[in-house]
Amino acid sequence: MIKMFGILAGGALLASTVAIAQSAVQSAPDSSASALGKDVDLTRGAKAWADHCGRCHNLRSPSELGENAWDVSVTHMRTRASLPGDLADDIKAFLMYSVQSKTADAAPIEKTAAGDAYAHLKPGDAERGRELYSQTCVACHGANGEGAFEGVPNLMIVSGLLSKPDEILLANMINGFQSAGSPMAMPPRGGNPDLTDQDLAHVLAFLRTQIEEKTGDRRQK
Amino acid sequence: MDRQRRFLRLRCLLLTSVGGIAAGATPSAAEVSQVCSAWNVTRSIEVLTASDEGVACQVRYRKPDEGALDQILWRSSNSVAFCDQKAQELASRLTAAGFRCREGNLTETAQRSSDLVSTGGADDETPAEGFDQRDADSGASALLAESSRPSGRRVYQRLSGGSDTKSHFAGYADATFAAADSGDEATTSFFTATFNPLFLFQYKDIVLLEAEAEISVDDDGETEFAIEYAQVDLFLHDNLTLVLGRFLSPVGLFQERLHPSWINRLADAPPGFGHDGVQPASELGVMARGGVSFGRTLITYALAVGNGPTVAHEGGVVFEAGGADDNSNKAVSGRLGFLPVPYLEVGGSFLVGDVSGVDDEMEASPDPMAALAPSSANVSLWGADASYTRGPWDVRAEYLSVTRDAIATSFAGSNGVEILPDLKLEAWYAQVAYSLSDITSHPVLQKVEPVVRYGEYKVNGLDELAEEAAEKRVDVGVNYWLAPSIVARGVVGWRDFTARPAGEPSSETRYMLQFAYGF
Ligand code: HEC
Ligand code: HEC
Repeated sequence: MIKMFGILAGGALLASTVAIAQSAVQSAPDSSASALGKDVDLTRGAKAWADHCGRCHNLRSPSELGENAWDVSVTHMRTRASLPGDLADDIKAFLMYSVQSKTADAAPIEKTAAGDAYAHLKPGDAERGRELYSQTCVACHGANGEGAFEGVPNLMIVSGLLSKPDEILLANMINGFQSAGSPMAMPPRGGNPDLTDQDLAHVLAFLRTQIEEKTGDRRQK
Repeated sequence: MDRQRRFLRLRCLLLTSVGGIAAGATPSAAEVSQVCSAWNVTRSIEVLTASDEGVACQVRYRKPDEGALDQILWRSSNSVAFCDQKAQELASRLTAAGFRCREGNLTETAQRSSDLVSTGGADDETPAEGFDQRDADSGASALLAESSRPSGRRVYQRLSGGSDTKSHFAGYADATFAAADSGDEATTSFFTATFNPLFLFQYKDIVLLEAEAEISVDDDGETEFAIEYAQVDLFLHDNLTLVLGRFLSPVGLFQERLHPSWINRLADAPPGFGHDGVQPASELGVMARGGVSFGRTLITYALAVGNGPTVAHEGGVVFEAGGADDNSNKAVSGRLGFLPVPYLEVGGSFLVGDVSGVDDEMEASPDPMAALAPSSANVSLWGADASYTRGPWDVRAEYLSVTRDAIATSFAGSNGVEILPDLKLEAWYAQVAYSLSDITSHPVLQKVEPVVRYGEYKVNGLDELAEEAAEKRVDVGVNYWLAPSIVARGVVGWRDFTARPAGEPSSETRYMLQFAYGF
């Protein structure tokens, strides 16, 4: 009985392997080209990293390994954790981005030139901002803005990061940055190039209302 | 001036409607093409007609600046209007996302030579196979963070290019001190250390070779060397990886996922999950595994066929990959995992196979006439596990049950081949760890993680094993995380040996200190 089952299962495995290997060969331009260029989604990668890479062991800091090492390591984890390949690729993209932007010229802007470069933007709409935040930023900044994992700063500290002027925050959100010693980069537009400057102004408005609610809470206490 | 330049980053190009149809269609020629730009990212949407047999039109989406491959998003076997409409819709979505679209062609130089894409049936008016849904949903994919920045561009190229073979050296090491106190007897204490180097070699994104050795110094000061695993992973499909060689058994959680000391929350295995236990450690054979996600929900599977268990020296069952199979029957094992959300996982595991009795001639039966021939017996295992790993919590529980039918075999202390009755082994544990990082930002306290575990191991049908291994145990420990994979821990365990013969100590308090480093 068990013998039969074993042979059957082994046979089925082999047959499916051959079938799939065959189709992999047939779509060879696709698969070999895929080694040369894949559609990767940085935001989804950041989220998947936060979701999956701390499930079995602690999340390791993106700055722990270099680009090539992350490539190999995430392939390793893809097998160990049975992650779908496209998800693993997104995670790779995110980790590689975080690592190499460290060496790039990506320091945060702390001062702006005279004049407000974003003066033309309409006032931010916090409700619209909430929506955008929950689509893109929540992966790293967390539902409460306090950071979803190590390496992401708490934005909800009263007179903390958000007390910087709008134009500086906007410039940092738009261009992306990584401060000295930070294990991880804030990607340009949170990794989502579809967000416009105006969208980011909406999100900023949302973040500010969250902080105000917090200070409001404090005062009531 | 400066301000204006900043805003011109969203280059304004007139959005014109899809207009005239280019004359003289060559195969695969773009009949109608729009170019959409934002910053210096330019994409094109092309409606191709007269391309393949049986296909009236296709919509090709190209993002050469982003290093992406061309995609065929839609095709239709009879209606060019369908493609025009889809192209227009995509252009509108890009426009809404800040792109500016105009009629035109990408210049040849900007094109990537790879005119690849999905084959697949020309299903009428459906997205082409290989079309990335998330790309359609967001209109413009979140491909690469702002390609206008050189760093953004590099990400992509590095992910895609680089050398064909990449390697990575990792692994872990630990040093443990343990002292046991069993009441009246003298306290015993010992040191152990292990070093587990892990070598990884990856060829493109097709093959990964993983090999891990375990070099350990045991409590007698003797050095042992063993191969933990040595496997080749073939990535056949996003949802299917084929593993060949010696690999960690996919049954249950502990062996495959938690046993490295920098991952484990305590200093040793739960009762029944380590040596002499019920949990399969490794397998020699082939395994198919993978996962499928639906939004945040993930389903994972692993199915292995291998040499399976053997009869232990003491008469129990060893679930460890030996060199040769003890019989021609393969064991089949596997696990199915379900994660409704990433921080919650439930899993079920099984193994079916059989073991063959051995005839140890060294202990020849005194009466050859009475000798029994060794027989084989079925072994079956099932198990269930659950994990909750949200925020500061790390909660796990696991249960495994093994039965082995009666078997004729010789074993340590037997008088030739004897009959061993049915054997039933059962082990389970539940463990909760909580990191204080969630409730304090004190520099020392936030690295502290208390943990408790309760576990039981029951053995029925083999007294020698029961006396040795059956136990109930409570472990309480504290982890101090110097880094995400470097930990110092202290553990106190209260062990209750449930089947010790009278006269032997039936309980023990054990203290362990461990330093573990995953690198
Ligand atoms: C299913 C559980 C599990 C998940 C999920 C998981 N890991 Fe691991 N990880 C392990 C185990 C087990 C090891 C130890 C491997 C060994 O030493 O044999 C490990 C080792 C590592 C290592 C060190 C060895 C190496 O390959 O470089 C890194 C780095 C790592 N994991 C990162 C990640 C990342 C990034 C993710 C998310 C993609 C992830 N892990 C998800 C179980 C997991
Ligand atoms: C991939 C993870 C990630 C995503 C996604 C992300 N951020 Fe960030 N963000 C970071 C990190 C990391 C930092 C801190 C970087 C540093 O200090 O080096 C940061 C910093 C910030 C800051 C502080 C700026 C300053 O000047 O100090 C703001 C504001 C911010 N992010 C807003 C956003 C918004 C809005 C979004 C969504 C559009 C977003 N982030 C998406 C990781 C992310």
